[in-house]
Amino acid sequence: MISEQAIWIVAGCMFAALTLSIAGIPAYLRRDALIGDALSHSIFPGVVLSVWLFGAGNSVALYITGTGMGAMALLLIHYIQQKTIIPKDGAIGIILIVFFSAGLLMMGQLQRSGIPLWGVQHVLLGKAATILPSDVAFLIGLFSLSAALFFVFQKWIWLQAFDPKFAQLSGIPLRPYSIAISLWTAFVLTATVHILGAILSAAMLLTPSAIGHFIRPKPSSFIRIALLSCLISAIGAGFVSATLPAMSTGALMVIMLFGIAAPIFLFYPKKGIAMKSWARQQESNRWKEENALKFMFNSPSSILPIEHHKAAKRCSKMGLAVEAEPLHWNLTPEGKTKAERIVRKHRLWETYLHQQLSISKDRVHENAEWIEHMLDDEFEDRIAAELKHPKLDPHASPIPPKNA
Amino acid sequence: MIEVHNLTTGYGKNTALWNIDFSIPLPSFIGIIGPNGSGKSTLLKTMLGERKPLTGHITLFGQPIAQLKNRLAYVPQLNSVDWNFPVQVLDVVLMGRFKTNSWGPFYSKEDKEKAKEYLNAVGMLDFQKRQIGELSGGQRQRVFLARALAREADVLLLDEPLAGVDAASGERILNVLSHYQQQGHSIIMVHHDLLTAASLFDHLILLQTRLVAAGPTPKVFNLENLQTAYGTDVSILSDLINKLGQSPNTLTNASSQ
Repeated sequence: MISEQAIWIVAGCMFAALTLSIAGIPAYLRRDALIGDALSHSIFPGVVLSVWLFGAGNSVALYITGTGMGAMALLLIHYIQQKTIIPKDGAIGIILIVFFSAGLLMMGQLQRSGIPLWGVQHVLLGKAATILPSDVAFLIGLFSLSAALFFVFQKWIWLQAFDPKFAQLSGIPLRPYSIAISLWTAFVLTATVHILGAILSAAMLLTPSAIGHFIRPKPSSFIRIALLSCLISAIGAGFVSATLPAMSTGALMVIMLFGIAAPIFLFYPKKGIAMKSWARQQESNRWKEENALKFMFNSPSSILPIEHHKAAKRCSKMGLAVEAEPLHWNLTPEGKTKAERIVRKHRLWETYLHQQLSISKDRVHENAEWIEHMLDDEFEDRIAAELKHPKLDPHASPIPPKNA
Repeated sequence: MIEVHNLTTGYGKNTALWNIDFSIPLPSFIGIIGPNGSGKSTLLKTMLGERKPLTGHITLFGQPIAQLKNRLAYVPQLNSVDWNFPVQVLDVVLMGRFKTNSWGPFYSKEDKEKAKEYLNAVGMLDFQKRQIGELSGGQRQRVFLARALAREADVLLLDEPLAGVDAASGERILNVLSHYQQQGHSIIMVHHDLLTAASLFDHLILLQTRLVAAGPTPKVFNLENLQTAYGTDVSILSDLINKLGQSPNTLTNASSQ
């Protein structure tokens, strides 16, 4: 049976993750992804500071110091960028580590002075097991506000991220807009910190957007897929956290999200890296099979050269050719029809190049070796019609008819 | 009337402009010409408010240009945006209808109709559902042009809209621009092709870090000015001027406007 606490944990994870994913969309679109990392590291000293000064239970103090530290980090990054030749990613890298180190030192000091450490160790890695119903209520509120802000400002977000200069001309003030987005991100990171952990929450900002972008480059489906993938990983992480409270919820969620992302990046139809390479392999095999069939057609009594052997074996599995005696291959009726079509395409294209483009007879063959694999039925018919259905190619070889 | 007073700018990555001073009546079709690195784009960026002047100022219709942003539209260079961005052609054109004072998460029905109308004008309506990355260079430029037109601004600024664009798209763009101009709007365009400059524009701004000349095309587009601006390329220029002088379609055409 699912305990009541487990439901709270799962709900907390869901709304925390959704809130972060929505906050991450503008940053992802603006190609400002590293800012999320900088913020998640720099709110850490803010959170420790809040526990140190105001005790563990004071949420308002936590939000103020967390967001404040985030803002300070952003200001410093901006300052370094303006006043030195260090580029933005360099500035982010430096500031991120400095703030994080400061946080670690403060935490060490806290532990030595014996101040009760509620949450601080969870702040780094996240722990949803301790979540209270009131936290969930707060997260639902935060999510609703995020979603409402995103919904109302969606035109702004898309315009500004696509073309900042055009946005400026259209009246969106660049600097205040950037500051508002960054502060909101810092606030959201702080508010979800005890569930996901400071460091790991940055992954929830960006990975859902990356998945959405990869699958569907259109705005509405982009958002839907981003939120869906984030939701699945949040529910999964929530359930594991509920049964195994010692696990870091943030780490669980990140790994689950990656578990969704990795197969998508690899195997998504037509776009996945593995699928693309598989499609290339299939295409290359088809070319080789067509070349083997063509050889059997053109030189029926010859020994099949070694380079065609593998392709010939695949052809025999498809019932297009049979090995009559060792190294002598014959076409089946089906294979013969197929081979004739390839030869027809080859010779049609040679004729086209020679007649329409005035390319000399001895220079048309190589191009046709390639194009014969590329012509679909429609092009084949168009070329034949344009050439008035020729019987012979430029080398006076017969062009097989289509329905032989 | 567009007036540029005593303008000096250009720092950091931008080429310099020294003490530019001219005024041109509007509506006009204005070309900004000059050799590479003469400050053509810098002048355009300053007009857009993207660059701050060191001295001087620009006024449009008698007002500082910063207050007239909603009366300006522009077509940026193609390489200025990320073409993998998750957005469709129609969405890009709708961005031209964005106004900060019209609240609400969606573009209105009227905005959508206008966007389609301008998309049709540049011959890209059939592509409205495409992801922008699927378009060719010329098609992208036409979408950018439709977005700028959708702003229905008084002055359209373009930064070399014909660079890297196929011939058919280029022709289409010029047709749309001349139609736009006939409706009483103004166009200010950075242009690098001297061969077409004289026939295209009714006013020219000829730059060489400083202002060489500005005004009606027949007054600006002469051998002396071009020699000053293009320096060592004089022999090419004089040959070019001869060629243009023989063509019935260039200098005479421009001077009749």
